[in-house]
Amino acid sequence: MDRTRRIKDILWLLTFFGIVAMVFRFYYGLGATTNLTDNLPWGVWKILNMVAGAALATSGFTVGFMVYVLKLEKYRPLLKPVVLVAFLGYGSSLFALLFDIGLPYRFWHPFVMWNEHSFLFEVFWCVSFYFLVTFLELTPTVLERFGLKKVQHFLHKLSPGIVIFGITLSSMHHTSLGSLFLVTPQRLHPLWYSPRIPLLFILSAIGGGLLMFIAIKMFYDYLQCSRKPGYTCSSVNGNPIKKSDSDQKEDFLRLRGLATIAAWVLGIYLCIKIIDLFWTGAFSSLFSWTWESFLYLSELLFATMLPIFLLIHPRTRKTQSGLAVAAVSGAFGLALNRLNVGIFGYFRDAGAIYFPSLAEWAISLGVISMAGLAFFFLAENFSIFDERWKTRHSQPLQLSIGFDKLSMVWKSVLLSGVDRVSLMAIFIIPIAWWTMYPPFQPDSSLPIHPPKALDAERHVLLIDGNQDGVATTFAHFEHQERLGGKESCVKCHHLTVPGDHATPCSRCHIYMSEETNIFDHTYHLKAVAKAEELTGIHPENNSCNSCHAPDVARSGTTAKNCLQCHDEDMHPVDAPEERLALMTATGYMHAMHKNCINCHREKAEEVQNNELGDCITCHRKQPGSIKFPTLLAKNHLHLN
Amino acid sequence: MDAWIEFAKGPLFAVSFLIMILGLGRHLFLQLDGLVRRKGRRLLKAPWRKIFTDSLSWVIPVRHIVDVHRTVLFSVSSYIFHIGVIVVPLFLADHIILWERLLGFHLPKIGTLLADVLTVITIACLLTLLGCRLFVERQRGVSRVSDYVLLVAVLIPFLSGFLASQPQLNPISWRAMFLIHLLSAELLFVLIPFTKLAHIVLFFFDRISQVHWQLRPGAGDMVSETLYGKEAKV
Amino acid sequence: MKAILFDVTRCTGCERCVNACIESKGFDPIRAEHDRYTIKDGLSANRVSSIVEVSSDHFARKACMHCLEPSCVSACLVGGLTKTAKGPVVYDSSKCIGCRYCMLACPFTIPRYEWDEPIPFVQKCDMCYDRIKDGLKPACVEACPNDVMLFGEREELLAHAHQLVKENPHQYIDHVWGELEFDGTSVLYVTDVELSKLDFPFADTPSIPSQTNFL
Repeated sequence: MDRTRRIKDILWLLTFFGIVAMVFRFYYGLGATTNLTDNLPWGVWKILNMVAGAALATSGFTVGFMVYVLKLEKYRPLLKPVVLVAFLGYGSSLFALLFDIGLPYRFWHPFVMWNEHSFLFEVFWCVSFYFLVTFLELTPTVLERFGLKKVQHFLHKLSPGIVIFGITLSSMHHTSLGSLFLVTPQRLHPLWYSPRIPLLFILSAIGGGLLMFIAIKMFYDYLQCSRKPGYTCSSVNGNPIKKSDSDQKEDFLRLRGLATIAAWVLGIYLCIKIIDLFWTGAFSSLFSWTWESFLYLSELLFATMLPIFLLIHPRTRKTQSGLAVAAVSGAFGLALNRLNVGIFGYFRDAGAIYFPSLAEWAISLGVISMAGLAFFFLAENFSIFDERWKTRHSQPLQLSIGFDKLSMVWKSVLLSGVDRVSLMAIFIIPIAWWTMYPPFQPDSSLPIHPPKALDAERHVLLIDGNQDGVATTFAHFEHQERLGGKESCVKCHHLTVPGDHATPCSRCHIYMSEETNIFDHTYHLKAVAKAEELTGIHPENNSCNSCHAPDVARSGTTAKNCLQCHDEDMHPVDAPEERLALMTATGYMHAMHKNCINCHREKAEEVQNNELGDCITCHRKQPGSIKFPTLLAKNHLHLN
Repeated sequence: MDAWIEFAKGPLFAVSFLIMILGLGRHLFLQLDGLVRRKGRRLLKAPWRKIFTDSLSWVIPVRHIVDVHRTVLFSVSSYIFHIGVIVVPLFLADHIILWERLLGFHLPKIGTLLADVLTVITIACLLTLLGCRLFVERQRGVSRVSDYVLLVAVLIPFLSGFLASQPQLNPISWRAMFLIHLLSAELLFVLIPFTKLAHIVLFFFDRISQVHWQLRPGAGDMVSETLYGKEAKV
Repeated sequence: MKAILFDVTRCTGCERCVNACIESKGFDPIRAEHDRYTIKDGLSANRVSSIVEVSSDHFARKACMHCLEPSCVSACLVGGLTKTAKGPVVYDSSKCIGCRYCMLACPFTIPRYEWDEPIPFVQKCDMCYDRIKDGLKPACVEACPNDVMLFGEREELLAHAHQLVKENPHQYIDHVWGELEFDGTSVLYVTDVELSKLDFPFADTPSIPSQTNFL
């Protein structure tokens, strides 16, 4: 009882965290809540919840296959728990996907809009139909409690058909989940990329899925029972459920039977995987000792070698703990394999590392926790593992609450379900808010790096303002060096976009001879309102007085000088008092002539070279068409 | 200091305010849930009219104050205090900006002078209440430690807020006073759902659940039964 | 089938094509400028074409390659991406569900996502499909001051490119990028330097749909 409560508490905690993250994800969008990037667009929701989650819930179809097709009646008692695991596994995967896809309200599009060439289309159809199948398989168990015999009977008749249909769907989508990654031969690390990936996926899913089910079943039994021989199991309200030793032994043998099958499948998987490594020629990269090869080896160890060893070795195969370790390690290894293929294998190509943000973890684990809570609810209220609900309500609820002592009042709060959970909620939700609220997060994208090599160290610019194909060359690097290196930028780049320090001329001087208005009034309304923290529903409407004097007609000439706010960005060469001059950019030709000729004439006197201020200095007839800027730069230098 | 103020204005405010809202919401939910579960259909036949008039008679408590001569000072100051404690935090001009940032709409605001006067009156009432509890013997008898602590906890944000808005009276720096105001208000937010301050929402349910149903005929027997066992009778 | 031929030897990296692209697509120029400085290859949802310095003083365009057999088209589960008869690969935002499989499937890592929007879509170059339907050139080709990009029928451009390479063997590497890579693309490059800085997997590989068509 206490074990179950502790687990449920953790599940509720994660659920509340998840709920807060879900709200943020929809309100602020994917960028603010996740660490996904354009190079690594698939994150933990898709890979851990969907790809790994579906694989871990495979037991639904394998046990169904054993019972209905191979007629292994021994495993029939496991059918209901297996279906429950499959239902919750697929349900939570699909639920997590709703948060991952950008436009969740269009989730039904693939039903209507078909692209049957797409592997994802196949996955989508098979997974959603298989979810429906598990739902139909689970319904009779739920209806049993409400006594709807007719519906139950009808569904029972259908069930072999449903199960066969489900087995087909399941084997199809497990292969196509692998095929999803076939389209990325250039991007996925060669250790994991292989044309055999669909086969590897379905084999590992069968083996690992069975081990995952064994782990769940053993864990559930552990929560319910003490493990002493001749024990009694206590259930939620203290009603003992007795199980004889022979029952318990049969339980164990059944699970061990499943584990043996899993071990065989995993053995075949291991062989194929190693042969495949030679086949694709990736064997050499296994022993290059990059961290990818370590991941690959640990995946093989946990998913295959350790469980197989534990299930073969005569001493460990007969013990509960041996089986438990094998099951947990197999399930972990399977999940690791899916993470390797879906996330870690892409790091090398992307040249970046993806680690999920807190909100991503919260939703991923929150969805799993919700499935866990649903698991406990269904297991406790319907005949899935046992028939406990039948005895549970026959006894009257015993009140052992006194209100004479303060501590007892609190104890009653902590014992009862709704009170306890809601008390947890009011502490967890604010903490979740604090840690995940996007405006509280440090903004990493804000600092703007200075321009890259593209501008600052470009040697020669081609100037062709009227775009007639006859360009004039401008030795940018040489001018920069002559005028004093990086400090000299402002001598020509007199006006820059905020945050930049060398905005190109063509950004403002767009046309050859016409003026361009470079003042964006609408943008300033918002920017000023934001900078001055104006409030109101439309704060930008209050920003007029920030620039315009209140009692004068509002126009460009009467407004505040731009330099009062932008003195860091602007170094105007001509009179700064002229306000309109800052709002319009002259034509390209005029700007170039004004900027270059004045300086050239001054220098001409200085160095006694009259030609320097003349047209011929720049408007030189170019030899042939311009093809090699670097070569021309040298010519230009020479001529100077 | 500025970093502390930013922290208290941002994350800490959000957390404490959320705890208060969720905690009060929890009380509301549990009360409604318990009411429906205990009473079920009988809720429809409840003496709503009597409940309503009875509640109203406490909101405009002329009758009660006249009836109980000895605590008239306590009752009157308590009543005025409640007016101040609702109006000042909600409608003060400086708080309006806060509400707007939080909720996205304007509340009507009260003038600075009115706000100052109300604050002074509220503080005076608080001090009166504290004095009554300390020096009137009958009231000291029923007071617990938490009653004094809570009065002080309510007093600090009012006092610090008032001093922060009156620079000529402020003995320490404005920032420190403002920080005290923020932190004490946030402490109050956290205290509200877990102490008797929860009567902000529970007030309505006291009238419905306790007076008219809880103490139905035979209720005393059940209490003594729970306390002293089945044999005991009142 | 229209195509673009990009001559790396002629490009000076003025980025006028990028500015024209931003203007004709109606992107926010300030955000585009921001992304130019903060993102390695300058490609984002506000800036779907960019100029990358592939070697010192040599620049090349990075944008959608408009493959003849596009991986993204075969990957999209709702058929939101299509290869049109005119050449460009176009995106239909009314179908998109936001699964981002196209971004994973593209061997050139081209599609970009509007991460900051509450209702996000994919953004990529569509070779100005609306313009070329009306017989105009794409905005970038028209804006280029130095005729770096040529726009025309793919066969003609290929012939032109081969002629150019053959006639000026000391200027160009003897290869037309995009002719055979991934079974051909609608953006072709002739160059005198290696294009490895573009991060394009320019190996002589067949297209991804033909590699995975065994099912």
